Amino acid sequence: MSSREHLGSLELLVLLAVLRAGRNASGIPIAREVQQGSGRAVALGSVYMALARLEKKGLVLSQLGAPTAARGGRAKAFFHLSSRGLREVRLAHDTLTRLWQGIPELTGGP
Amino acid sequence: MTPAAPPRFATWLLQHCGSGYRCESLAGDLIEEYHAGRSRVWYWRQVLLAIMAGAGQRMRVEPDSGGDAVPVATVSRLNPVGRRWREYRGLLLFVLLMCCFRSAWADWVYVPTGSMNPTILEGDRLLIDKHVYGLRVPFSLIHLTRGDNPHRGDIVVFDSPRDGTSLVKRVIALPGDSVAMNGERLIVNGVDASYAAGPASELQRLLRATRQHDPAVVRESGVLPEHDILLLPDRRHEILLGPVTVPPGMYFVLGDNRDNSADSRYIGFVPRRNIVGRATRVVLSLNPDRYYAPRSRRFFSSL
Repeated sequence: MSSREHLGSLELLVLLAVLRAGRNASGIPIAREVQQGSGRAVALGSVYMALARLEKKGLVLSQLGAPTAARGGRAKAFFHLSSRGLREVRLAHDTLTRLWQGIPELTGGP
Repeated sequence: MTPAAPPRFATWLLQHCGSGYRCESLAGDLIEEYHAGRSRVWYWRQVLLAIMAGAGQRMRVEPDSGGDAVPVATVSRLNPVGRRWREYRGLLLFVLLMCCFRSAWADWVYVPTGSMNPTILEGDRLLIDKHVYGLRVPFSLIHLTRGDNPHRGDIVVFDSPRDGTSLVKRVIALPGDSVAMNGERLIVNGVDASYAAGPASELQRLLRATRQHDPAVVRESGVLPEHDILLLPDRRHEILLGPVTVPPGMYFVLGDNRDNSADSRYIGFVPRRNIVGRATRVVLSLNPDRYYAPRSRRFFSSL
């Protein structure tokens, strides 16, 4: 069993976006959630690359839906977090929260 | 209004040169968004970004270390050559497309010599419009479209008819024109060019080695659009030429540095098919006399 995986900032954003998109978590909704959350446009290809890394790390699982004519006969891939993925998000939150606390520059607003 | 079908070539590129991870789903997402009102530009941009993201990921990850980004069911069945090809084909295609673009559409070239002083200086990097005179098959001189013909005064890049080296000179006479030179004086179609003293400030920009020849900047006009030329009194070329008629399909070109330029006076007329593009502007300029310090005032200046 490997130790904790290192998460990049886009990977963490994508994990959170997958959670927020819920049952509808395919490429476009995930990219929208990332964009709305971060305020920055993100290329769909970059989101898929992040999902590829996360799936390889075992943090995300995917399954294919049915192909549709509107998508040129291509199936939609749906993503959800594995239990390890959920644990990593919680750990990242706890780590960031701990690091946030007690820094004078970050208290009292901008 | 958005056309009905998304760009098929872009979709093909994505499926054959993408990362291999959920390419079908990514293509489906893009097609769905396109039908929802996105533009072709958006579609192409997403495809190219996806290919680059895939190539970048492959470069970051050592494939043999088990850090492969592609799910490995398909890749592991391939032999090592096939696996390498699958891993690097996106990057290879990107490099190939870039080379084709530079060969046939636009390029930038470094100028190491001063044959076009004072217009172009040693150390300039020029933007070359390579499709203005007709689109060519990349890496060849075969034209696919006719394009515009060079005009008098154009600064053109061409392959020397003598040895194939790439040269940059100014077009002086077109096919059918009569051209003559009496020393430094140019006569085109029986009309003498006019000469007046040019701005002395241009001398300061020349390299030290050129300034040692006590050069003079002269403004040439009358037979082609007004421009500056450089004369080197101690290297004067007292050439008596012509008048000769430029043959069909040929061009007579000269360097602006009239006393230090191997041009049509020495290499003969330049065939139209050898002319690969027009120099439009300086994009970058480094001064060899000052350890290649940037000459920022020349950046993006038009020629």
